[in-house]
Amino acid sequence: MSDTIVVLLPVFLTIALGAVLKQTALIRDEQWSAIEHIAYYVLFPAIVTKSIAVADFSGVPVVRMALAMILAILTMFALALALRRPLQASLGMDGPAFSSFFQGVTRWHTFLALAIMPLVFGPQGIALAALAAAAMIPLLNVGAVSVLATYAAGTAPSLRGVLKSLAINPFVLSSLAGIGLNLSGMGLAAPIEQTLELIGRGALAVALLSAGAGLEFARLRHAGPAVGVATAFKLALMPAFMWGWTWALGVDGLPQAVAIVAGGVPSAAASYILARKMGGDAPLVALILTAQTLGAALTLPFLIIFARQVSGLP
Amino acid sequence: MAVFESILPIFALIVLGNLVRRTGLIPEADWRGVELVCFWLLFPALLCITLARIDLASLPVGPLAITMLALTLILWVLLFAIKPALHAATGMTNSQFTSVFQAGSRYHGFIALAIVLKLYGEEAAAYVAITMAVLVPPINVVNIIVLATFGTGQSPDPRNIAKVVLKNPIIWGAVSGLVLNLSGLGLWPPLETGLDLLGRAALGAGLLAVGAGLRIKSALRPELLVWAGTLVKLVATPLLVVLLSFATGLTGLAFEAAIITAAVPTAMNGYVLARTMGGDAELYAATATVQTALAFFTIPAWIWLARSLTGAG
Repeated sequence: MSDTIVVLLPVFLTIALGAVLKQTALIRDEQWSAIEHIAYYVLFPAIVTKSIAVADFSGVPVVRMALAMILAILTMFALALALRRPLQASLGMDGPAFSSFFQGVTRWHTFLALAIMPLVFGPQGIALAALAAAAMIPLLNVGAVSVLATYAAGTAPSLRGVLKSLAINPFVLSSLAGIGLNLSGMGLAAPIEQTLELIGRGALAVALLSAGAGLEFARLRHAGPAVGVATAFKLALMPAFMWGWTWALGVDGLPQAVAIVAGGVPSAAASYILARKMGGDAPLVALILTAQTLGAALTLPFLIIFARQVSGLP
Repeated sequence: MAVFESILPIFALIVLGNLVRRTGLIPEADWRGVELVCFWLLFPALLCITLARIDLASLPVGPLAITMLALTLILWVLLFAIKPALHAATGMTNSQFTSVFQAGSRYHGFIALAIVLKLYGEEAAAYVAITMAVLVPPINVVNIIVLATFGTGQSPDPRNIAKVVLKNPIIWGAVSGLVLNLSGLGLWPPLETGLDLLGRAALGAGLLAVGAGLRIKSALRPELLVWAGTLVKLVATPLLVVLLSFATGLTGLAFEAAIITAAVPTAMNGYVLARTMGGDAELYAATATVQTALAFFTIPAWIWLARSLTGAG
């Protein structure tokens, strides 16, 4: 237990530092968005490409792992949609608020997940999580956009628009590049691998800082019950679905542990931007993200221990 | 050749930073955010952890500090000595002189750290960190004074100069690292991992920011003054380290780290200072750009020379 906390503490200290830095106003809001952009377009693609390209996936049930994660997400989609009416009635949510709830319980914070994995599970962990990103992101984006189009005020983008935004998604592209390099057996020339490594090192801390800068503690006082329910769904239920489906498909060991922990990270920071763009309840998204990040600081250590145990890792 | 290849990633990152800026993906002004995070947080973290973790007693700190301080003094004198000649040759204004002065006497410590970490590892990085701790205060004070005297801006209050130096996070990073080290407090493991996380980010993000700050266009037709600042920085400075090391007895790894520190291009923070204090900011940016491009060739040459001199092959 104390080992896990020691491993995770730097992650949350760095997030806290980002939140403190944001308060100092040393760095203006739009400059934070530049930092996030660089992490999104440059730093993370580098680490994703590199870790997948040089990873050894022989003997790893990659396809079954991805399938289990997709099924876990679909289960959460179905649950949230099936419970929509009672949830809306009991939690006092209108359509836009429900879309924010939906994004909050289904999406994942790729930055955060990728930052945690190498600390907890080593280089193979981040390679698997990067693969998981490639499997999950298209589905999660399509789900979020569809729900926003149906229940929030925004107009639905065309199918072509959705496909186009996925085709230029840096996580998806860099995963594909890594998979191509890995499968072709080309690997990476040493100077290129080192360049990507150097860039990728920048990714983790920068991502954690910007995750911290995105937190909104001030408004947390106004959080309603929807925030609490969304937090519980995401931090507890989603990892449970990941566990169930990996178990059902016979995925164990590191891939199973990575899937479970990936399920238990907070929702994506990009949910906020999407909510604002498509008429979702953006302030609610910010609240859910803040509550989930605080909650994850408490639940992740337990989740990691749990994941290690059920997957049979030492 | 091996040296070339091993510093290639560092320059590849600088080039990438420049390319990303050109795509316009990130508004030009917002790059400042990256620089600020590096300056206030990532760089100090890297210095702190580098200095906190080494065994100070075993390092030849004295000869290194003396060499680098003497180097800095000689550079200042040299830059003032060539001022009349440059003025006669190019009609250099005082404001232009401040940029030649800054570009000739500042150095980008984090490029040096990146190279040294890559080539030699943590111990050598500590030499660069120590050099930065020793040189950052005098270099900043003197550059501010030179700009106040020869720049077209207003002269700062002497108390403000002290404040600028005391507020410098590079100093804070270095001092806190030294305190942790000398006090024997050591680092609490989670804090160490956290600092390590930030310090690793310093190099990646810092090098991208260096690239984003380069001004290719203004460097394409370099005037004579650009060459003056470049020669002083890339040729005279490392050469002086070689000569001084005979006198101070600086040898081995510390000597190689000192050569690399002396051979790196000037730092972009001189640009901000030039802009706010009436220096010729464009001249500074052009010089920094030319220096960075040429450094890709001169740094391996100096490393090769340093290795031949130390007999390390």
